Amino acid sequence: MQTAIEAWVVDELDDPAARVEGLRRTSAGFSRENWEFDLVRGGAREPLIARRDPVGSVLETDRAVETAVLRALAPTAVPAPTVRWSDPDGRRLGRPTVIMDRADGECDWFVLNGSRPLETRVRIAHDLYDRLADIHLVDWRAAGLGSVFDDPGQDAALRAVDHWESVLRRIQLEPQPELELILRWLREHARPAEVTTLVHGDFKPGNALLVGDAVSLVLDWEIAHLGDPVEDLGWVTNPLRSREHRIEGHWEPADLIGRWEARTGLRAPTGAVHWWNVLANLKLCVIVLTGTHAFVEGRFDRIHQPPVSLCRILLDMVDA
Amino acid sequence: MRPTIGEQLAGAARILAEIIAPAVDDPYPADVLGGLVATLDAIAVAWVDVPAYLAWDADKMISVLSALGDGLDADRRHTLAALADDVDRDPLDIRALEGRHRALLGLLADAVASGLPPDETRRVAAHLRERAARYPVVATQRMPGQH
Repeated sequence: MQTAIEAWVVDELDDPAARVEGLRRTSAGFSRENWEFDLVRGGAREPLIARRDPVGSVLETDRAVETAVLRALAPTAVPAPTVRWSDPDGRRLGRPTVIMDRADGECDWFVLNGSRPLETRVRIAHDLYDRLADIHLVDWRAAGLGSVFDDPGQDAALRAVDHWESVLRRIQLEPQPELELILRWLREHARPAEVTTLVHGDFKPGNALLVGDAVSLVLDWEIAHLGDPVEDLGWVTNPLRSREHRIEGHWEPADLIGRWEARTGLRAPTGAVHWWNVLANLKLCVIVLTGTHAFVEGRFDRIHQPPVSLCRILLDMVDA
Repeated sequence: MRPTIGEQLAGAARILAEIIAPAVDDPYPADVLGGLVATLDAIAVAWVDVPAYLAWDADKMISVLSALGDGLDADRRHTLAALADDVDRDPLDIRALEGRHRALLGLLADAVASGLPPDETRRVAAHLRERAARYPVVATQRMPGQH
């Protein structure tokens, strides 16, 4: 790995003296291999990270699309990682890989319920979810994202169901009556989107870096797409993820949505948020089952039990 | 017969945790190893309950499916009848138990996907909740998105 990355970097920089030092695979992330290293060149040391597709994963996504999104975001107000080099065909390291700047900062999944004083945590929540609003405010046409993604228009909800159902059909190892019931409910209750925006798809404190108490970077853009911005609100207000996204009594879903509506000038009807809450948990089930499929085929290194608890929560959410 | 299957699984988990894990310094293999030990610990306790769970779930699915009105077409009713009448099966044949269970899951999934009246959907959902509550293996490995 060290030799292959070094050859890639030397080639890109056209500098035979460039060196890779301190290469190590981190344990963070279930979907991509993260390899941290320093690029040493001319007496300077630059921290970089290579994100390589694994043999098997909980998500099957496209490095070319992720690279296009990150490059499109570079001139916008959204703090996203800086891409150095991208190899979507996997010629350099055997599998598709993106090398990015490795930024300093703290990544804390539960920062909103951590040890900082309450006022600081609420301030961080404002900062974090204002970044989510900024993602939805990106002029995606001007940024060139219209040539990267299809615009689902009003049909964003049904298109999301189609997408996750197609993934389920591809990877399910056995029939899933619970998910069939949920898919049917989602189709029967889908609402038209009021607007199309860029959607992050996995926004959470665990995908953000903090410097001090300020959000410096939003990470992990591999499932970003165009769609209904309420999809991201459904993801971050999912009751199952409240430890990550809420501060009980001080930063509730209503506070988050109210602040988001004020900043974006968009609407998030309650019924639509609930619908996307349900979609969020269906998506989590499919992600778990994708990992199980890859594990059984010998392509993934972690074992997950069937998502029975998630299924029970879903049944309650649709009042079945 | 000693060591029992449970003792062997639990012992393998202990050896990995006490002998192997301290020698693993790289964070990724160490994290994977932690998940593996947790899974072995969970199935060491629960594996013995899995056959009974599959048999119970299969019987309950036969009961739920038999009570459906138009949710099953003629072919599926025939399949259901054959699965329900399979009285000569060996209850200790785990492969057969898994195959029968899977076939019933398929019938139930098809029935749900075809669209059931609200009262039948509620009856199916009640069983789906119960089967989730009774699932014998307690997840100890963190799910994707959990930390």
